Amino acid sequence: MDTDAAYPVPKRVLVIDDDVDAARMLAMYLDLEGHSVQTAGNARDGIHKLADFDADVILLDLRMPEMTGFEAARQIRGLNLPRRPLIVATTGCNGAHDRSACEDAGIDVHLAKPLELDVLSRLLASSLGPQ
Amino acid sequence: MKAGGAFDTLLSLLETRVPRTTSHRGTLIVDPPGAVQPFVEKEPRPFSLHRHLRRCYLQQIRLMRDCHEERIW
Repeated sequence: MDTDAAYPVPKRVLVIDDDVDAARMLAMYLDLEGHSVQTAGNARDGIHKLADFDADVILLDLRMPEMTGFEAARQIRGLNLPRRPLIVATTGCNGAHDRSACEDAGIDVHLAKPLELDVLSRLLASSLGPQ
Repeated sequence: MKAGGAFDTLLSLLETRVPRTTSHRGTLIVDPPGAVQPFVEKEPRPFSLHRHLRRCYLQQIRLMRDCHEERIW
């Protein structure tokens, strides 16, 4: 896959969002940026995918039915993963309380929807790649 | 290096205007006629983003494509 010079190390990104078209759009964009992307339409599927997909970064919607992004993040942090993925909350929940809840759940970064795509790209470029 | 065509693919997807309220109706197919349990074959669901998200992402992707083309020329 071709990569832009600004992204020397393609990342493995898992997008978890119950809005499947929003996830698909993000996946297409990240693929265009040279990253390897998988999507999941709910938290349970997303967690399940981590067994086979060694994600560097997880883009996680917070408001999802059945299992919220907060709970998903807690469960992901409890998994015995070979390395610690960067968990990025992508959400419309932007209050101080939400940000604090993100920290408590083990979420590293909080990005408001709609995402600023160049901010996301820079975040991925600066995060650690495959080790 | 990003290919300009990749932006266009993404843009054409985002430019699909389908209201979120559009219902997704399946086509009822009974085979053979008179079968007790007909099955429903769904049409592919159209791509649909919330209007605000779509507008915002369209704007950003268009800008990126334009910058990309400017770099080429």
